[in-house]
Amino acid sequence: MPRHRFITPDEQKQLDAILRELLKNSDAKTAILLDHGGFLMSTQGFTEHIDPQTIAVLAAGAFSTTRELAKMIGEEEFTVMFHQGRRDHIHLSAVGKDALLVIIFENTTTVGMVRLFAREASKKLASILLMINERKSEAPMGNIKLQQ
Amino acid sequence: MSTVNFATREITCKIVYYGPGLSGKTTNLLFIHKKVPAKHRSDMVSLATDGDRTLFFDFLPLVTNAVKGFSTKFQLYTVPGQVFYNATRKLVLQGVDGIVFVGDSAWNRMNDNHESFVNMKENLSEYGLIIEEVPYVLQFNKRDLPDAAPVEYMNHLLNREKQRVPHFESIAIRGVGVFETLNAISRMVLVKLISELSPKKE
Amino acid sequence: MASVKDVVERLSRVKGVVGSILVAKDGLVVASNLSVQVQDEIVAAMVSAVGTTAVKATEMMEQGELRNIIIEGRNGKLFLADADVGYLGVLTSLEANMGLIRLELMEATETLRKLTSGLA
Ligand SMILES: Nc1nc2c(ncn2[C@@H]2O[C@H](COP(=O)(O)OP(=O)(O)O)[C@@H](O)[C@H]2O)c(=O)[nH]1
Ligand SMILES: [Mg+2]
Repeated sequence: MPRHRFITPDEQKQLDAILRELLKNSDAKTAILLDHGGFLMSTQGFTEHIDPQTIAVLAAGAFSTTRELAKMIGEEEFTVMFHQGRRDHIHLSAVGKDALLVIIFENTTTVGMVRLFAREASKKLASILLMINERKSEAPMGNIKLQQ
Repeated sequence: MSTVNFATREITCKIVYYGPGLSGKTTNLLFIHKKVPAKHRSDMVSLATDGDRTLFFDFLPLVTNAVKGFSTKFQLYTVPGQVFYNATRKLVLQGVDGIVFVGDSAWNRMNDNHESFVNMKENLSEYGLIIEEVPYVLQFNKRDLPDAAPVEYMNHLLNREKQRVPHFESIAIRGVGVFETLNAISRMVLVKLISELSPKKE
Repeated sequence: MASVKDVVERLSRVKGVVGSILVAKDGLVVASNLSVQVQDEIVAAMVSAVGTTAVKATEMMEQGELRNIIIEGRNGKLFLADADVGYLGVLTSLEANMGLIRLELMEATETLRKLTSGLA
């Protein structure tokens, strides 16, 4: 893992676009991209009344916890988690080695549909994240200065 | 691992409050939450047991303008101190940028302080990190206790790595020393980040 | 372009069709337009069981790739096709025109394949 991660405006646009496409195809409500540490990388869709940052942190926690559980029973990793509610549901899936995708959806669509398009989005997101993560630790633009 | 987003012009860093159970980590965050105006922070999330003990972590996001041209976000986490929660403690350390080690000044907690510090180094090593490479400060909390151990002794016990680090005396329940500690660690994290980002002079 | 949901829904509007469903190969519903009397999950489980068995059967009997399955009951029929991402099922009334339904099913299968190429 790199010490620092930079996201350029162009990469951000690509990440956002993939999430939007996923929402359109799957009819889901909200999509959130984050890393295993709970860092938010993109949020698309409906975000009123929800706090994406907190969701990201809790989702990362839930995922880490299940990963540890998986190890304990000798599984490599659980790649998909699904929380079923009465009206709102959450689909959580792994993206590459160190990121996660949270999809919130209602009864207007199905887990099957969400899973189908989450897989496609994950592949695309993973390849962009790989590019971001393999970049050398040098700011791609300009100097950053501490404020007094 | 800090994230620098040039699209949203945001820098995000993760700071973890580590230390033995009941040393005052959650109290630090509660005080910060109380004093920082709402526009610079979000709600605090606590995953706690009924008895108020931290089960997984506390989480408090802050927004500052410490870096020119960027909004700088600090994500403060605490870990559960109890020995048997090591699995979750380790998870919280993932991607850490800076640590505040909160020690308990009570004489009878010196062993716990020491054990927790050793445990922190072990957990860091699981992520391939060594303590010398992670910015951290020590906070000796509960200085109000009548049986508080001398600062020299606590330094002798906890501040013995190759590089000595800043230490702060605090009374977290009254907020004494809380912001001094936070300012110091956030500055250290940013100074390190910036020095690593700046193009090296040949 | 039509969405996966649209394709499944369009099938349900074909004359004689009472319901349509797309089921992932492991039995998870992807999209469905069934009347309330038949429960999605039950149909889905049956569809994936029948589909999987039929695929295996055609293979073992060296009849090539499965094209479609027709199950006739006293009250209606069930048509099934393999759409890669899952099995596409259509429930019809007794009077439904089999030729028309098969044609529509094949067309829907093709569209689904295009919409989801590489997703299975
Ligand atoms: N006397 C004293 N008590 C403190 C101080 N800071 C925290 N406490 C108390 O210590 C107990 C444990 O604090 P908490 O923040 O939950 O510890 P944590 O396990 O490290 O999160 C609580 O009852 C606090 O009120 C302090 O500076 N002095
Ligand atoms: Mg606590």
